[in-house]
Amino acid sequence: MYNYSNCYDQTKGPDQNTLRFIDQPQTLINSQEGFIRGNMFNELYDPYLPTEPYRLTPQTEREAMLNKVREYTFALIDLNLYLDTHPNDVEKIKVFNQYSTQLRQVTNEFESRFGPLSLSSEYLNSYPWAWISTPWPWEVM
Amino acid sequence: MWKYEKKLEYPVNIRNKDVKMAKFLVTQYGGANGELAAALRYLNQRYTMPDEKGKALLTDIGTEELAHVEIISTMVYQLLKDATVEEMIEAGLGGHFAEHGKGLYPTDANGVPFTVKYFSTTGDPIADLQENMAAEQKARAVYENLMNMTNDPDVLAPLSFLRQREIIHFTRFKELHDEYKERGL
Repeated sequence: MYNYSNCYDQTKGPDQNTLRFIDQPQTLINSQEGFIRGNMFNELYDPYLPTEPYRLTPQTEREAMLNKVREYTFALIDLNLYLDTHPNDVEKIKVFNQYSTQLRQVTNEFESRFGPLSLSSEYLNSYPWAWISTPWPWEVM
Repeated sequence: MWKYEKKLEYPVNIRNKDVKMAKFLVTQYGGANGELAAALRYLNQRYTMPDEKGKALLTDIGTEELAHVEIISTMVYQLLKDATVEEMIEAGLGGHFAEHGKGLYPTDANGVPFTVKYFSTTGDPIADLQENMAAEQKARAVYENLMNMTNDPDVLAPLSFLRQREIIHFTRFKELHDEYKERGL
Protein backbone atom coordinates (compact mmCIF):
# COMPACT_ATOMS: atom_id res chain seq x y z
CA MET A 1 0.00 0.00 0.00
CA TYR A 2 1.14 3.48 -0.78
CA ASN A 3 1.20 6.06 1.96
CA TYR A 4 -0.33 8.98 0.13
CA SER A 5 0.39 11.42 2.92
CA ASN A 6 4.03 11.23 1.83
CA CYS A 7 3.07 12.61 -1.57
CA TYR A 8 2.06 15.95 -0.12
CA ASP A 9 4.17 18.99 0.51
CA GLN A 10 4.27 18.90 4.31
CA THR A 11 5.26 22.58 4.49
CA LYS A 12 1.84 23.67 3.20
CA GLY A 13 -0.11 22.55 6.26
CA PRO A 14 -3.04 20.16 6.59
CA ASP A 15 -5.75 22.39 5.16
CA GLN A 16 -4.45 22.54 1.64
CA ASN A 17 -3.32 18.96 1.71
CA THR A 18 -6.28 17.02 3.05
CA LEU A 19 -9.44 19.11 2.89
CA ARG A 20 -9.37 19.88 -0.80
CA PHE A 21 -12.24 17.71 -2.00
CA ILE A 22 -14.56 17.92 0.97
CA ASP A 23 -16.52 20.89 -0.43
CA GLN A 24 -17.36 18.89 -3.57
CA PRO A 25 -19.88 16.15 -2.78
CA GLN A 26 -19.75 13.11 -5.06
CA THR A 27 -22.50 10.75 -3.95
CA LEU A 28 -22.96 7.31 -5.47
CA ILE A 29 -25.98 6.00 -7.31
CA ASN A 30 -26.63 2.21 -7.29
CA SER A 31 -24.53 0.11 -9.65
CA GLN A 32 -27.42 -0.86 -11.95
CA GLU A 33 -28.37 2.73 -12.71
CA GLY A 34 -24.75 3.88 -12.69
CA PHE A 35 -23.85 1.29 -15.31
CA ILE A 36 -26.54 2.28 -17.81
CA ARG A 37 -25.70 5.94 -17.22
CA GLY A 38 -21.97 5.34 -17.61
CA ASN A 39 -21.46 7.35 -14.42
CA MET A 40 -21.70 6.28 -10.76
CA PHE A 41 -21.78 9.81 -9.37
CA ASN A 42 -25.02 11.75 -8.99
CA GLU A 43 -23.47 15.21 -9.07
CA LEU A 44 -21.34 14.45 -12.13
CA TYR A 45 -24.09 12.94 -14.27
CA ASP A 46 -24.61 15.23 -17.26
CA PRO A 47 -26.83 13.59 -19.90
CA TYR A 48 -27.13 14.60 -23.54
CA LEU A 49 -30.34 14.03 -25.46
CA PRO A 50 -32.38 12.07 -24.58
CA THR A 51 -32.07 12.72 -20.89
CA GLU A 52 -33.23 9.22 -19.91
CA PRO A 53 -30.44 6.63 -20.14
CA TYR A 54 -30.90 3.75 -22.56
CA ARG A 55 -32.30 0.62 -20.87
CA LEU A 56 -30.52 -2.61 -21.70
CA THR A 57 -32.68 -5.28 -23.32
CA PRO A 58 -30.73 -8.55 -23.17
CA GLN A 59 -32.16 -11.19 -25.51
CA THR A 60 -30.62 -14.22 -23.81
CA GLU A 61 -29.96 -15.41 -20.28
CA ARG A 62 -26.26 -15.36 -21.07
CA GLU A 63 -26.39 -11.69 -22.04
CA ALA A 64 -28.48 -10.83 -18.94
CA MET A 65 -25.96 -12.52 -16.66
CA LEU A 66 -23.06 -10.93 -18.50
CA ASN A 67 -24.67 -7.54 -17.91
CA LYS A 68 -24.50 -8.20 -14.14
CA VAL A 69 -20.78 -8.94 -14.52
CA ARG A 70 -20.41 -5.73 -16.55
CA GLU A 71 -22.39 -3.76 -13.97
CA TYR A 72 -20.07 -4.62 -11.06
CA THR A 73 -16.99 -4.34 -13.27
CA PHE A 74 -18.12 -0.84 -14.18
CA ALA A 75 -18.79 0.16 -10.57
CA LEU A 76 -15.21 -0.87 -9.74
CA ILE A 77 -13.77 1.03 -12.73
CA ASP A 78 -15.54 4.24 -11.79
CA LEU A 79 -14.77 3.94 -8.05
CA ASN A 80 -11.13 3.15 -8.86
CA LEU A 81 -10.74 6.42 -10.79
CA TYR A 82 -12.43 8.35 -7.98
CA LEU A 83 -10.19 6.74 -5.34
CA ASP A 84 -7.05 7.55 -7.37
CA THR A 85 -7.75 11.24 -6.68
CA HIS A 86 -9.51 10.71 -3.29
CA PRO A 87 -7.38 8.00 -1.63
CA ASN A 88 -8.53 8.92 1.89
CA ASP A 89 -12.27 8.33 1.37
CA VAL A 90 -12.85 5.38 3.71
CA GLU A 91 -16.54 5.01 2.84
CA LYS A 92 -15.87 4.70 -0.90
CA ILE A 93 -13.10 2.15 -0.23
CA LYS A 94 -15.70 0.07 1.65
CA VAL A 95 -18.14 0.34 -1.26
CA PHE A 96 -15.37 -0.63 -3.69
CA ASN A 97 -14.72 -3.79 -1.73
CA GLN A 98 -18.42 -4.66 -1.51
CA TYR A 99 -18.71 -4.44 -5.31
CA SER A 100 -15.52 -6.45 -5.63
CA THR A 101 -17.11 -9.29 -3.63
CA GLN A 102 -20.28 -9.10 -5.74
CA LEU A 103 -18.24 -9.15 -8.95
CA ARG A 104 -16.44 -12.33 -7.86
CA GLN A 105 -19.80 -13.97 -7.12
CA VAL A 106 -21.51 -13.10 -10.42
CA THR A 107 -18.35 -13.86 -12.43
CA ASN A 108 -18.14 -17.31 -10.86
CA GLU A 109 -21.84 -17.90 -11.52
CA PHE A 110 -21.50 -16.76 -15.13
CA GLU A 111 -18.35 -18.78 -15.84
CA SER A 112 -19.79 -21.95 -14.27
CA ARG A 113 -22.60 -21.81 -16.84
CA PHE A 114 -21.13 -20.10 -19.89
CA GLY A 115 -17.39 -20.61 -19.73
CA PRO A 116 -14.31 -18.53 -18.91
CA LEU A 117 -14.19 -14.74 -19.25
CA SER A 118 -10.47 -14.51 -18.55
CA LEU A 119 -7.39 -16.69 -18.36
CA SER A 120 -7.53 -16.39 -14.55
CA SER A 121 -10.82 -18.30 -14.60
CA GLU A 122 -11.34 -21.49 -12.61
CA TYR A 123 -13.24 -22.90 -15.58
CA LEU A 124 -10.36 -23.65 -17.95
CA ASN A 125 -9.82 -27.19 -16.74
CA SER A 126 -11.85 -28.92 -19.47
CA TYR A 127 -11.25 -30.57 -22.83
CA PRO A 128 -11.10 -29.27 -25.51
CA TRP A 129 -9.59 -25.89 -24.57
CA ALA A 130 -12.55 -23.79 -23.32
CA TRP A 131 -11.04 -20.37 -24.08
CA ILE A 132 -11.80 -20.65 -27.81
CA SER A 133 -15.27 -22.15 -27.42
CA THR A 134 -17.07 -19.04 -26.13
CA PRO A 135 -18.16 -16.02 -28.24
CA TRP A 136 -15.83 -13.06 -28.85
CA PRO A 137 -17.04 -9.67 -27.62
CA TRP A 138 -17.49 -8.14 -31.08
CA GLU A 139 -19.96 -10.79 -32.22
CA VAL A 140 -23.64 -9.79 -32.18
CA MET A 141 -25.38 -11.73 -29.41
CA MET B 1 1.20 -5.98 -18.00
CA TRP B 2 -2.37 -6.26 -19.11
CA LYS B 3 -4.94 -9.03 -18.84
CA TYR B 4 -7.70 -9.57 -21.36
CA GLU B 5 -11.33 -10.06 -20.36
CA LYS B 6 -13.55 -11.63 -22.97
CA LYS B 7 -16.36 -9.10 -22.65
CA LEU B 8 -17.09 -5.50 -23.63
CA GLU B 9 -17.24 -2.85 -20.91
CA TYR B 10 -20.68 -1.94 -22.30
CA PRO B 11 -22.72 -4.24 -24.60
CA VAL B 12 -22.85 -3.58 -28.37
CA ASN B 13 -25.44 -5.43 -30.45
CA ILE B 14 -26.09 -3.48 -33.66
CA ARG B 15 -28.69 -5.28 -35.71
CA ASN B 16 -28.89 -2.98 -38.76
CA LYS B 17 -25.93 -2.22 -40.99
CA ASP B 18 -25.22 1.47 -41.58
CA VAL B 19 -22.17 2.00 -43.75
CA LYS B 20 -22.31 5.80 -43.62
CA MET B 21 -22.40 5.77 -39.82
CA ALA B 22 -19.40 3.42 -39.79
CA LYS B 23 -17.49 5.94 -41.91
CA PHE B 24 -18.22 8.73 -39.40
CA LEU B 25 -17.88 6.64 -36.24
CA VAL B 26 -14.41 5.36 -37.14
CA THR B 27 -13.02 8.74 -36.07
CA GLN B 28 -13.52 7.69 -32.44
CA TYR B 29 -11.20 4.78 -33.26
CA GLY B 30 -8.44 6.49 -35.26
CA GLY B 31 -9.14 10.24 -35.18
CA ALA B 32 -7.31 12.98 -33.26
CA ASN B 33 -9.89 12.88 -30.45
CA GLY B 34 -10.53 9.15 -30.64
CA GLU B 35 -10.16 6.40 -28.06
CA LEU B 36 -6.93 4.95 -29.47
CA ALA B 37 -5.19 8.33 -29.24
CA ALA B 38 -6.49 8.79 -25.70
CA ALA B 39 -5.43 5.31 -24.52
CA LEU B 40 -1.92 5.57 -25.94
CA ARG B 41 -1.45 9.20 -24.87
CA TYR B 42 -2.29 8.50 -21.20
CA LEU B 43 -0.31 5.27 -21.08
CA ASN B 44 2.64 7.12 -22.63
CA GLN B 45 2.39 10.14 -20.31
CA ARG B 46 2.10 8.16 -17.07
CA TYR B 47 5.85 7.53 -16.70
CA THR B 48 6.59 11.19 -15.96
CA MET B 49 3.68 11.92 -13.64
CA PRO B 50 5.18 13.37 -10.44
CA ASP B 51 3.37 11.33 -7.77
CA GLU B 52 1.47 8.13 -7.04
CA LYS B 53 -1.95 9.66 -7.71
CA GLY B 54 -0.86 10.75 -11.19
CA LYS B 55 0.78 7.45 -12.09
CA ALA B 56 -2.34 5.60 -10.93
CA LEU B 57 -4.86 7.86 -12.69
CA LEU B 58 -3.06 7.89 -16.05
CA THR B 59 -2.62 4.11 -15.92
CA ASP B 60 -6.24 3.46 -14.98
CA ILE B 61 -7.86 5.90 -17.42
CA GLY B 62 -5.50 4.70 -20.17
CA THR B 63 -6.57 1.15 -19.43
CA GLU B 64 -10.27 2.03 -19.56
CA GLU B 65 -9.68 3.79 -22.90
CA LEU B 66 -8.36 0.50 -24.29
CA ALA B 67 -11.76 -0.98 -23.45
CA HIS B 68 -13.35 1.94 -25.32
CA VAL B 69 -11.19 1.22 -28.38
CA GLU B 70 -12.73 -2.26 -28.29
CA ILE B 71 -16.28 -0.87 -28.04
CA ILE B 72 -15.80 1.52 -31.00
CA SER B 73 -14.04 -1.17 -33.06
CA THR B 74 -16.93 -3.54 -32.37
CA MET B 75 -19.45 -0.90 -33.46
CA VAL B 76 -17.61 -0.20 -36.72
CA TYR B 77 -17.25 -3.94 -37.38
CA GLN B 78 -20.96 -4.61 -36.79
CA LEU B 79 -22.12 -1.60 -38.86
CA LEU B 80 -20.03 -2.83 -41.83
CA LYS B 81 -20.41 -6.57 -41.41
CA ASP B 82 -23.18 -7.15 -43.96
CA ALA B 83 -22.30 -4.30 -46.36
CA THR B 84 -21.74 -5.01 -50.04
CA VAL B 85 -18.85 -3.52 -52.01
CA GLU B 86 -21.35 -1.28 -53.83
CA GLU B 87 -22.72 0.03 -50.52
CA MET B 88 -19.22 0.81 -49.30
CA ILE B 89 -18.38 2.71 -52.49
CA GLU B 90 -21.68 4.61 -52.25
CA ALA B 91 -21.01 5.59 -48.61
CA GLY B 92 -17.56 6.96 -49.44
CA LEU B 93 -15.66 3.90 -48.21
CA GLY B 94 -14.49 2.75 -51.66
CA GLY B 95 -10.94 3.82 -50.81
CA HIS B 96 -11.12 1.96 -47.52
CA PHE B 97 -12.31 -1.17 -49.30
CA ALA B 98 -9.52 -0.90 -51.89
CA GLU B 99 -6.85 -0.61 -49.18
CA HIS B 100 -8.26 -2.70 -46.33
CA GLY B 101 -11.28 -4.68 -47.56
CA LYS B 102 -13.66 -5.13 -44.63
CA GLY B 103 -10.74 -4.97 -42.19
CA LEU B 104 -10.71 -2.32 -39.47
CA TYR B 105 -8.23 0.51 -39.92
CA PRO B 106 -7.81 3.49 -37.56
CA THR B 107 -8.61 6.70 -39.47
CA ASP B 108 -10.69 9.78 -38.84
CA ALA B 109 -14.06 10.35 -40.54
CA ASN B 110 -12.25 11.72 -43.62
CA GLY B 111 -10.04 8.66 -43.98
CA VAL B 112 -6.90 10.35 -42.59
CA PRO B 113 -4.84 7.58 -40.95
CA PHE B 114 -4.02 7.55 -37.23
CA THR B 115 -0.72 9.21 -36.31
CA VAL B 116 1.40 9.26 -33.14
CA LYS B 117 1.28 13.07 -33.31
CA TYR B 118 -1.99 12.62 -31.40
CA PHE B 119 0.05 11.53 -28.34
CA SER B 120 0.89 15.18 -27.56
CA THR B 121 3.27 14.60 -24.65
CA THR B 122 5.45 17.36 -23.17
CA GLY B 123 6.73 15.69 -19.99
CA ASP B 124 5.32 18.64 -18.03
CA PRO B 125 2.50 17.34 -15.82
CA ILE B 126 0.43 20.55 -15.93
CA ALA B 127 0.69 20.84 -19.72
CA ASP B 128 -0.04 17.14 -20.18
CA LEU B 129 -3.07 17.20 -17.87
CA GLN B 130 -4.46 20.30 -19.58
CA GLU B 131 -3.98 18.51 -22.91
CA ASN B 132 -5.92 15.56 -21.53
CA MET B 133 -8.72 17.72 -20.13
CA ALA B 134 -9.10 19.34 -23.56
CA ALA B 135 -8.97 15.93 -25.24
CA GLU B 136 -11.82 14.65 -23.04
CA GLN B 137 -13.94 17.70 -23.88
CA LYS B 138 -13.23 17.33 -27.60
CA ALA B 139 -14.13 13.65 -27.49
CA ARG B 140 -17.36 14.50 -25.67
CA ALA B 141 -18.23 17.06 -28.38
CA VAL B 142 -17.50 14.52 -31.15
CA TYR B 143 -19.75 11.98 -29.40
CA GLU B 144 -22.54 14.58 -29.41
CA ASN B 145 -21.97 15.23 -33.13
CA LEU B 146 -22.17 11.50 -33.79
CA MET B 147 -25.34 11.14 -31.67
CA ASN B 148 -26.93 13.79 -33.90
CA MET B 149 -26.13 11.67 -36.98
CA THR B 150 -28.12 8.52 -36.13
CA ASN B 151 -31.55 7.45 -34.84
CA ASP B 152 -30.56 3.84 -34.15
CA PRO B 153 -30.83 3.09 -30.40
CA ASP B 154 -28.38 0.19 -30.86
CA VAL B 155 -25.80 2.85 -31.81
CA LEU B 156 -26.98 5.64 -29.51
CA ALA B 157 -26.83 3.62 -26.28
CA PRO B 158 -23.08 2.86 -26.41
CA LEU B 159 -22.34 6.39 -27.68
CA SER B 160 -24.24 7.81 -24.72
CA PHE B 161 -22.28 5.58 -22.32
CA LEU B 162 -18.94 6.54 -23.87
CA ARG B 163 -19.82 10.24 -23.84
CA GLN B 164 -20.52 10.06 -20.12
CA ARG B 165 -17.10 8.48 -19.54
CA GLU B 166 -15.46 11.54 -21.12
CA ILE B 167 -17.15 13.67 -18.45
CA ILE B 168 -15.82 11.47 -15.63
CA HIS B 169 -12.32 11.35 -17.10
CA PHE B 170 -12.32 15.13 -17.54
CA THR B 171 -13.34 15.55 -13.88
CA ARG B 172 -10.60 13.24 -12.59
CA PHE B 173 -7.91 14.88 -14.73
CA LYS B 174 -9.10 18.29 -13.50
CA GLU B 175 -8.97 17.19 -9.85
CA LEU B 176 -5.40 16.03 -10.34
CA HIS B 177 -4.50 19.13 -12.34
CA ASP B 178 -5.92 21.49 -9.70
CA GLU B 179 -4.07 19.68 -6.93
CA TYR B 180 -0.77 19.84 -8.84
CA LYS B 181 -1.31 23.56 -9.50
CA GLU B 182 -1.97 24.18 -5.84
CA ARG B 183 1.10 22.21 -4.82
CA GLY B 184 3.18 24.08 -7.40
CA LEU B 185 4.21 20.96 -9.36
